[in-house]
Amino acid sequence: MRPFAGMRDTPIVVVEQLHKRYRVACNSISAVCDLSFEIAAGEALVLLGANGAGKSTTVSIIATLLKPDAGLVLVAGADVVQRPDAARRCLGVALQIAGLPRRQTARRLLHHHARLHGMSASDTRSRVAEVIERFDLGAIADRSISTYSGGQRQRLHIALALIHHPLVALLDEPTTGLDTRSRQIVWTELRAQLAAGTTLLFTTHDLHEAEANAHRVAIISRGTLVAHRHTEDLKRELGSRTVTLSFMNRREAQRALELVGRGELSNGSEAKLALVGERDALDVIRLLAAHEVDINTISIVEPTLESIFNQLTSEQHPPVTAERQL
Amino acid sequence: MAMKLIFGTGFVVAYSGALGGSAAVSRAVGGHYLAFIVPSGVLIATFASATGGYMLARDIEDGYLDRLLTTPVSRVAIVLAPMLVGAGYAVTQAAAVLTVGAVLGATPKTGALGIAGILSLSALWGMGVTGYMTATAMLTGDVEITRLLDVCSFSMLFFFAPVLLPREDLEGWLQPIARLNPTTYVLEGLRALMLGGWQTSRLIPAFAAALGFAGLAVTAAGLVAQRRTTNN
Repeated sequence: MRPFAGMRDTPIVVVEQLHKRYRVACNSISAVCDLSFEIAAGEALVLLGANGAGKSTTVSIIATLLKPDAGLVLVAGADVVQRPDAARRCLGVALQIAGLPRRQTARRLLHHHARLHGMSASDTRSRVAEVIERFDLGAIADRSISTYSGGQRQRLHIALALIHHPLVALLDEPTTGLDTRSRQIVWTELRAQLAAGTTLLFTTHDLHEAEANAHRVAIISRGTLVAHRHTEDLKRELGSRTVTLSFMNRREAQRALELVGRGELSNGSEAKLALVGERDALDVIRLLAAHEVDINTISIVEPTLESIFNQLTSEQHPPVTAERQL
Repeated sequence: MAMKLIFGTGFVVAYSGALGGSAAVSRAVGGHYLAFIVPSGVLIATFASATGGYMLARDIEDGYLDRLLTTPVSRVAIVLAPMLVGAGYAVTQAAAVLTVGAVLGATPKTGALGIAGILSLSALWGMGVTGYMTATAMLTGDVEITRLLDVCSFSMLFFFAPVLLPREDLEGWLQPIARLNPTTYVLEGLRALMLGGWQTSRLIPAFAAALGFAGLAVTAAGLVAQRRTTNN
């Protein structure tokens, strides 16, 4: 049985007060500043942030490729600086660049990596065959990697990170450059790994993908954590539903906005306003009905991770973390 | 790698063909010119071990080294593997040039043990070459720069060694430079095994030079690799 299996609340990755600065010429640039979060066993956490926010630096530190200037990172209890080998044994890593040796074939490379991670010869054979099938690499598995398309290389890149059923999979932008079908293949396998108990930390710029696949979200802005919550909690607490009302004409729309006292004209005869609380939509409609404003259509849009992400990263916003919730 | 083998064997065939018939040349080198020139071909072929450095530079350039560094593989193995591959190439290539020499009629005077000695010197020298290339690859992480440094460094070592004539017959500025060049001693050791027999005055400096070069290069590679592979 896998260690940490069934221990959903046990943190398997702990990042505590992490700091990393890069020296560029005479300057020192802070890439990660006082970053803290945890990932429970079997959980999927997505790190979100704009380019240069510090996501890849964080992933590289957890992957034992970079040494932090300060702070602590534990993977399955192993300090990545003090006991990197112990941490590496638990990790499956796919960095942003799909580092693949061009002259190898997918089958040989998968076999090689399974063995590097200590899998037995017989387990390796069956697992390699399984992964080749799951990642739809069968037709090209015995061809040189130099002949692969970008999507095929990326699928192999992710397959290599998962070949040994890692305890923790670190995937830096795993679906960048993939078409819809390839994304589906990758996420089907990642969900299967999650179901089997693998913990997943991934980064992405695709917020729909993040929303659909992560249990928890950590948003980084300029190296600092600005939010760390369950996806639904974040949406509930920070997002606001928006109602769009369309009227007979522009004048009616303007009258409605004056009556409500907030919102904006969005498209000629449409008014868009953010709702506050569960009953707000009803109150607005009642108010407009009381003043005999004719409403044509009403549509309510639920908050999205994208709107929250934009809100948190485009302005100075106080950190929203699980700790604050407590 | 194939280029170095072609160049090594081609060098032997061309120069033994051009100069091998001359009695004056044979007198100068103290034996048949073919047996004299085969060690030069062996030396050229051992430079093929630079391939180990190219492989590593390509892995760095492709990002594959970073992938390997996230696996529980020993860092020593990651650095040592290309060096051992390089030494293996050097031995294989040296054996190929020796075979061509034997087909043309030049076998080592020291017999089977001499062949083992030539291959051992080649392996040590190859280890040095690949160690130097590994350090370069780790420092630059760039295949083209690694290739450029290979061509520049080893061309210098080769051209400033007594490749076509004995060191004593070199004239002018070349002789003092050749004396400082470790390649000279390795070449003279190889020649001793081919032509002269078990001459300790040639063999000790040869093995010392090859061992010293290998030691320095492997240490340099280890230090550079440590800096690169222990997270910075």
